Amino acid sequence: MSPPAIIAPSILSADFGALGKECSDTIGHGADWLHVDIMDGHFVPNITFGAPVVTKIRSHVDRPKKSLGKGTFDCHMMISEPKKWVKDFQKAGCDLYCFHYEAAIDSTAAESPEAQSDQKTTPKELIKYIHDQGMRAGVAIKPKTDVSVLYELLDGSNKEEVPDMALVMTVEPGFGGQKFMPDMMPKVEALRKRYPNLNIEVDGGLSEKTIDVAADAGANVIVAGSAVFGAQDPKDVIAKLRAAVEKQR
Amino acid sequence: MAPPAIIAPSILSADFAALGDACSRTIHQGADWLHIDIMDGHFVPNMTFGAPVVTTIRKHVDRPQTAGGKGTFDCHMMISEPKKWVTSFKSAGCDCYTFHYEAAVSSTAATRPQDETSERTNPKDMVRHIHEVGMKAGIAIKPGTPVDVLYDVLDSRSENEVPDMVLVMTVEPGFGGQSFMAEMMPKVQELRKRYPSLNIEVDGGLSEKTVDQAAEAGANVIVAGSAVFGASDPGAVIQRLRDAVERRR
Repeated sequence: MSPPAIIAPSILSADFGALGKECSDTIGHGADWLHVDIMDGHFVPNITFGAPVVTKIRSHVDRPKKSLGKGTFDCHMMISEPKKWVKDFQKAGCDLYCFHYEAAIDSTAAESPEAQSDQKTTPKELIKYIHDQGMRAGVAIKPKTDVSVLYELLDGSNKEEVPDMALVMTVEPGFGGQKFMPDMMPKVEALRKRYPNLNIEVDGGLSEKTIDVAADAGANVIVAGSAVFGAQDPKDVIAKLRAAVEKQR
Repeated sequence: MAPPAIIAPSILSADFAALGDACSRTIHQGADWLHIDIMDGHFVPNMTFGAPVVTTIRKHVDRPQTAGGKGTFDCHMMISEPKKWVTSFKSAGCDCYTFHYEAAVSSTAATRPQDETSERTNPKDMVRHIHEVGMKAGIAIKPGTPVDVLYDVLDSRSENEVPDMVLVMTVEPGFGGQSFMAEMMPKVQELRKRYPSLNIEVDGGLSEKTVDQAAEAGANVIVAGSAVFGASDPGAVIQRLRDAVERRR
């Protein structure tokens, strides 16, 4: 049986003029995690927020009482140098640092924003580093990236280098409000088959219309932006997304 | 006589959890412009916000009725590819697009975030493009950059290539709350001497303690972050900053 449903609304669709209230409201409506889309304009063609904003909204949402519990900040790092920002985001209140595989294989080993290094990091090294800094680690793949690139990481014998979550993008990252790509579901199925207990997250175009397909494939962590923040009754939407996942476990 | 005082509080020191209110309040307290620090984590070692946040806060502040009038969004682009983002910031509601000289001399000529080109832009090309897109253009220099690099673009015969404002950084860009660097004042003096009618902006560590030096040197556009947003009476601080500049015109 796959892990329990985790509903993680994305603040990319929230009112940025009142982010504190938006975040606390959505937790009040039944959300488990907050999915925070960090974009640097380099890895993706959009810029959203950085650690200073995360620090501010952290004070509006109680820290999770247990690892990955309610109130977890799931920071989706769509940035080109993921290792540089690990410490800043840990300080800002991030609980789960989810970097992109495509960035990790070609980025600096430098460990702070002002540092420079000729050395490159690797996904395994980055996961270990994130764990050393006290956060959980997620690895994300874009639509064109094959799911098999994750197997080496997920099969690792050193627990410190094994990610706690895999994020399968169901749109091209960079913007909210895009259409769900059902052709990403074979990736989710393959992961669920190999890793029955893994947290598998899907992000992009999830809503009551598309949730069943994702839950059926084996996804248990559901990111939804416009479907939750744009809804008349966000509480109801969150409950329906949860029910759809629980039905398929 | 130098141009009139323009007080431009920086939202870098505002409460990011309630930005809409913070922006409309500071305008009501007497601010002329809003100074918006856009950092991409590449040009400076910090990431703040991008166009989506600007779009949201634009709704909380009336558009200026005249060019450079009350309600002007003065976007300080601490990003490494300033030409890529001109159009998106215009769409977001930016009125004055201030790029860094140090970025402009070595960055792409591509005019959209998703585009690539091997051609490079330059300060004159940047100013022309910003004007064509329909915004005012500012050019900023970091503490380590001498002021004379700006003379070429400020003396340009083609009006379209002449910036509407120069920003002299009085701290190393990247973070709020730093100490004012008085040794930057000769740059301001030089500029005021050569260009009596130019809008000269200073940014970094400005407060009631340091504004006299800046006003004395000839600065008329005053960015203040923590001095305004951290004050128990922001309206009084704004008024005192204004008086300090007006006294010396």
